Amino acid sequence: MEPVLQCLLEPGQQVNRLRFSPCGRLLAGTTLEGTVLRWDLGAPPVPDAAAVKALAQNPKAKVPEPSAPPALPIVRGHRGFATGLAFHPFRDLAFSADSWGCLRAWPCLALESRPLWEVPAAHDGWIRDLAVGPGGDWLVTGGRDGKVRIHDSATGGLLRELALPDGSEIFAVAAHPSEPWVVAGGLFGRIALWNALDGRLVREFDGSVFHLLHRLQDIGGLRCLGFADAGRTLFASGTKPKGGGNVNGHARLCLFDTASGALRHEMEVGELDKDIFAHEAAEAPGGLFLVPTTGQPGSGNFFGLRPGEPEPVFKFNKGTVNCHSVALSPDGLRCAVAATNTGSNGNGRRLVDGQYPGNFSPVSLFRLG
Amino acid sequence: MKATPSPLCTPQDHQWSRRKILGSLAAGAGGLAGLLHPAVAETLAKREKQVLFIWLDGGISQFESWDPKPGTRFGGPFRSIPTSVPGTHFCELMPRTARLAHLLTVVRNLTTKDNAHSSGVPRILRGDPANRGVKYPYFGSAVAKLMGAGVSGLPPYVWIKPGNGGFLSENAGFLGAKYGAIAFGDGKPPENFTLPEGLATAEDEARQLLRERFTKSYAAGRRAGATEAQATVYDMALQLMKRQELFDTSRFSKRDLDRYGRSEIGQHMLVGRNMLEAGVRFVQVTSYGWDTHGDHFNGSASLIPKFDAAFASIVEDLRDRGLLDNVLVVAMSEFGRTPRINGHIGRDHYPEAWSLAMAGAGIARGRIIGGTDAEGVFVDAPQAYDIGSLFHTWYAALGVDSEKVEFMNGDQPLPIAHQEMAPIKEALA
Repeated sequence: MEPVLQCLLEPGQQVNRLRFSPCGRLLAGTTLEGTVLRWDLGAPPVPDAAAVKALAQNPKAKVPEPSAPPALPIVRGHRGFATGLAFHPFRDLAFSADSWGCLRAWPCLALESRPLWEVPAAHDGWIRDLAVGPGGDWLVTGGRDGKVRIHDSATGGLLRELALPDGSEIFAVAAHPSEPWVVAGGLFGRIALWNALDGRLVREFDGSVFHLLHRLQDIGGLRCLGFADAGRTLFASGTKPKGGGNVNGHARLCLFDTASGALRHEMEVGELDKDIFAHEAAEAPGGLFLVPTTGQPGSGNFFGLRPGEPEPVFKFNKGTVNCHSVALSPDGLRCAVAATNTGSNGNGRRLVDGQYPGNFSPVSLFRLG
Repeated sequence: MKATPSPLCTPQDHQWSRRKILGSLAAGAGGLAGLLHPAVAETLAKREKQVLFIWLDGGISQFESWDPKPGTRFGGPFRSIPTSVPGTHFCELMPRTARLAHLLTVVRNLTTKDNAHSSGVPRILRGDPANRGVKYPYFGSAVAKLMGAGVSGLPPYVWIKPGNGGFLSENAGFLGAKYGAIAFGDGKPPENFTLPEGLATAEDEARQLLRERFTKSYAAGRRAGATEAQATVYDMALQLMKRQELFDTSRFSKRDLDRYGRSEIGQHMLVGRNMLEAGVRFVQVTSYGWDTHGDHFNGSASLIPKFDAAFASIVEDLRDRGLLDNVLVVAMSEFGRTPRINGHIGRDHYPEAWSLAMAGAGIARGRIIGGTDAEGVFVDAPQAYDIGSLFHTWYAALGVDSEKVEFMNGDQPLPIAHQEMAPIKEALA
């Protein structure tokens, strides 16, 4: 079941998290420059620039059908990295967070998107992740300050504050698709599940595979938490760290039984030291997990994995080098993967036309079999 | 007739015995009384200039430390915080150091030449002098040569580092092996640091005297370098054996452990403090693992607060104990890190525009020198400084005139710092 590339979007920034809106019309991505990029998938596609140029030179030229959806104006206002991104399940409302601690809600399809509300200091510094509860009444955020906070989605007001038993920095959060449960994982790999309504700790999961103290550095390898199989499975992705500094290790996808907390599968993703982080994972129809990876320069792939199978269902690496996010469309028929431009690394100051270039994230939009 | 150098023992070597030496020691007691009482040595040491050289191996990011660019294209996720110097901000990962900025000089306009570790580390640590066809000493060896061990009687150049210890003669370059670094791996003393059970002190002293005589005899007619270095290492070991408490980490108070941090660098900095207080001339504390090509920001979030705790604590303690006027403190790496964030969410090597911090003896307080442009890509100052300027500055701070003082490599006079560079005057007190 190889994904079929439909189109390639080339924003000028590096994308952190990609998400489809629940209606499937909008694809949005937070960036390392504090912005949110948006593409309107319901609008007529934009002709490819090269095709326009070819047609201008030769009206009879054969050019491919236009396929790239138009970009909506960039949503600005976040500072540092724009990090978490999630949509309200029923309303035209998106929630985004940043590394300076700000949490915002904004109408996602409006051309000029002004925030509905904003909590400038929802956390002390870096909010690493956010998720929306099943009914859309609340959302959960987790931050480097070690706090897990439940917010009222209508106002941003704080409803409840939680913390892992070890008080460690939070790296990932998720909300159960049907129960009022939130889950959060931290620096040392502890993963806890609480009842969001009363704050009761329901269960813990052992994600210690995601942590290593190497010399001075505590390497927190957890990157993503989510629920699959209608909430019966909790998945966690990231890396099993091997060394710090230039962090190396082996990308991992762990599947836990939500009800018992037992680890069902620990899946190595790709190759050791080449596929180092599985920054995200998403469950596609048929129990297939979509897992993008990053690694050493030029490494990183887009994998399809099925638990219990020794080999990946697919491994895609055409334009999907060093992938940071994967989003599955609500109908499960499409997915988007944010990768990194080639030549993104290098020592020293190499100028291009006298300018110091930044990097960007090509976003591949795939049709799934 | 000149003796032929030979690696073999001579018959005279075997005329000495441990018993004879013991006897002679008993007769002329006090032969080893050249050492001062530790307390006296420490008092005298306070009058001598010393160096604490903190080396963050691999390259600390200037963005996440001394020269943040929050909210810009390459600024990363962190905020900046105000420091005790009005108008100056450090990264939020260094809150304790920010409160001590009025004691520091930060140089933000460093431009050096090498973006590889293997060549960059020695280039920086040797001060990148003009090529004279010789291997220059590392800064620690140069200070050991130029300023000597001082009155403490302890080794002049000690290196506290993770991993293995030993004697690193190669650091001394053309100065000769005896100016090498004695490295304490994991902050621990060398192996076999205590006398074997049942060996009396007097007997050990006799053994040492015997060894010295053998060494002297062996050295006669041979080239000085190797035997001199060997004798130096023995002497160092002997002095250290008398100061076992310097390595006793159980003596650190809970308060100190909390302040410095229960991390590798925190513990090693505490051992470094012991060494400085005991009068060691040059103490290098090295931390490895700063080469953050991948997962840089989470790495920085773990690494830099640990550096912050250890660095701020040692500066506070040196200040509170009246030692900051005598101890030159330098914190640096071989280069900084790129503005551009790579696909592995890392920053690569960047010698073009980076920063270091220093404090203490001869160094101005509360001074921020130079700067970089809004995105941290280019030095934004009339002048960028290379490592040669820093060497001149450090020597000036230590009272060594780098314009006049020279090394002698045999008959060859050699400048102690890059001849075409000069001290950073604004960095000097």
